[in-house]
Amino acid sequence: MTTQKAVPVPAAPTILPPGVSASDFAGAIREFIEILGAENVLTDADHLAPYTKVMVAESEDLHRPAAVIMARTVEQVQKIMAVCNRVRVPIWPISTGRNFGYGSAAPQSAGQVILDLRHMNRIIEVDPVMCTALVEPGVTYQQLKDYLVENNIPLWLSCPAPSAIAGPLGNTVDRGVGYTPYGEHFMMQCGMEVVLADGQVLRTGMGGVENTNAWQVFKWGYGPYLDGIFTQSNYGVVTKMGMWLMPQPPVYKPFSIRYDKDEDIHDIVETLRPLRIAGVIPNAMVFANVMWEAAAIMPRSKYYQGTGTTPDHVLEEIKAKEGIGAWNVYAALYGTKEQVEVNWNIITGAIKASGKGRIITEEEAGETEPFKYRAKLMRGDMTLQEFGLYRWRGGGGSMWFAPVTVAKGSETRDQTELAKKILGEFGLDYVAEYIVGMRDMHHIIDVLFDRSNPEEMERAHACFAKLLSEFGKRGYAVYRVNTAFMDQTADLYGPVKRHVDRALKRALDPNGIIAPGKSGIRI
Amino acid sequence: MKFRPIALAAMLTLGSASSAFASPTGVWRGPNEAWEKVCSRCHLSGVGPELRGRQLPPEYIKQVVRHGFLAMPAFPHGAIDDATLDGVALYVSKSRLNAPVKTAAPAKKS
Ligand SMILES: Cc1cc2nc3c(=O)[nH]c(=O)nc-3n(C[C@H](O)[C@H](O)[C@H](O)COP(=O)(O)OP(=O)(O)OC[C@H]3O[C@@H](n4cnc5c(N)ncnc54)[C@H](O)[C@@H]3O)c2cc1C
Repeated sequence: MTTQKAVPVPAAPTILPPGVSASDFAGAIREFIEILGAENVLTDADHLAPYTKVMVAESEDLHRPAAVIMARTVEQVQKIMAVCNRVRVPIWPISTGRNFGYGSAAPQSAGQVILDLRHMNRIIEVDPVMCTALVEPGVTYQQLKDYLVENNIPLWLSCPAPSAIAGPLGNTVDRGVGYTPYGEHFMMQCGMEVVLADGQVLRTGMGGVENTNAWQVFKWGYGPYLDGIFTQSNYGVVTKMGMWLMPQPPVYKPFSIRYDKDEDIHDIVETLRPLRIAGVIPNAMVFANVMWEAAAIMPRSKYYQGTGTTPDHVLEEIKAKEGIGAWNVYAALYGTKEQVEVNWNIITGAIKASGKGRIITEEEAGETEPFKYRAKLMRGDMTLQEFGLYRWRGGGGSMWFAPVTVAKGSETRDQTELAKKILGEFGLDYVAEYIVGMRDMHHIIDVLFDRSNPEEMERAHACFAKLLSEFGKRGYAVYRVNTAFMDQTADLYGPVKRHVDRALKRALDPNGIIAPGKSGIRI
Repeated sequence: MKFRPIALAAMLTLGSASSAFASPTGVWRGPNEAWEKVCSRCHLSGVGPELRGRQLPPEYIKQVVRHGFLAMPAFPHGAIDDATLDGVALYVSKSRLNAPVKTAAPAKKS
């Protein structure tokens, strides 16, 4: 074991940006130090180590950064752009850097310099009247939550499952999702500040209007709406983001519905879609399968000591002994007592009429997991309980396979069958949930594998590639993907989309210095 | 625009005592807060292994935090500064386990 302290900065970093000479890169590092101070320019192995930890099924060497630099101000980011353009150093911006299962903090390709914005962590404004916030990239959900609580501001956040350590800006610009009525985060985003590759600072929406006070209340501004091109992209570095927050409702009523059979997924969707579209169920509810539920409370070794795909009879045993459904719905109601009561009656009526599904209220669930953490997520609270997924098989490997699904029962049945079949071919498990959007569902499958076992890692890689291509053949594609599969995914969206992505890239970042390879986009 | 700025300076002051270089990573008001708001969410809930009462060497704890380990994420200096981490490592190392190991409560049987 090594100790951390007093590691001398190596004369030459071990990895260089592609096409950049050692002496040019050393010059760039010197300039970064001038702009940021030596303590914000990291090149030694110990400081880089945390940024090389990935969960994807590839060697970390393919994603090893050349250095990490940490900016604190917009002006510093502008100056960094100038250096990068001159020396052709690619930078990979991260905000809170917790993109687990999508590439974590590491760049798409080796040799990029990570621009870590974790220190730009000001909550610039929270407007309790308009229910909006304006934050910098380094603000975490925990920090924002603490701010709201300490200032007695009755507003709720919407967070992804690792809420306690992730942050709103990074999550939203990668088009992440949460579980409240505001769960489609990019839809609830309003106004951005972006440093462009040429150093200009763009404010989107109403933000360009001098003396505006509408930046965080009107999304579209005038002319082409631009915010979208700064999400899942590499056209700029987002340095501020506005977002809408949800007023805390007088009554919050989370509940679960348990279904016994795998094929029930069809009826679940058919029963609940109309309620979601009509707003009776207002939140991004989830349908979690047996393994997702089980993983939240125990390792699979409790019931199965073998390797490979967990056999169906074991899952049946887990369902019976642990009281877990084949599918488990989590949804919630928000509003006044009267509103909640009306909607509750509609929901219980619909479930009864459908002839299946057992409703479990918060009172019945008590303090049990996974209900407890689901209830937290549906009110935007802090938790890390879902990391339980990683003790299911162990070994720390994870890639989200997340195809978009039309919220129709027949389609969920087809996708579930296909995914299960392919995962089974590779000895992996179908650990899945559907997160219900406005009309679509994100079919989230955690491709779990033992990353300490090279053979299993290879298998997981092959499995993921096949999932993408087989789903692709049937017209299904993922909403977001990890750094190992960005090009394959971009291909699924067609050559014209790739052409336009590249045309925008060439126009806005002609030297290709920002995050080359993000979403398959390069100059 | 009506600004309600949170004073960055104030936050720095709160954390600066534990911060090696003047870094706003010092949003942690001390090791306790970091333990409570991050580490304990897994290590007191049965998601991650129980660490208390094991006299784990502080150096080992710090190594795992910085490098990650299997499913345990790595925490860079931007997320927790050295001084706060020193405090957390010491706290965990010296902790005792009075209560029995708490695992996640199982779901109710139907
Ligand atoms: C158990 C578990 C459950 C999860 N559940 C969810 C979930 O419910 N919903 C969900 O969405 N995700 C989920 N995730 C995935 C992921 O952890 C979250 O999406 C997380 O919010 C992303 O990390 P971050 O917020 O720190 O963003 P970051 O890692 O900072 O950013 C994400 C990406 O956005 C880009 N980016 C970041 N900042 C900028 C910037 N300033 N300018 C330009 N581009 C930028 C970069 O490409 C970066 O890689 C889960 C992960 C785990 C392990």
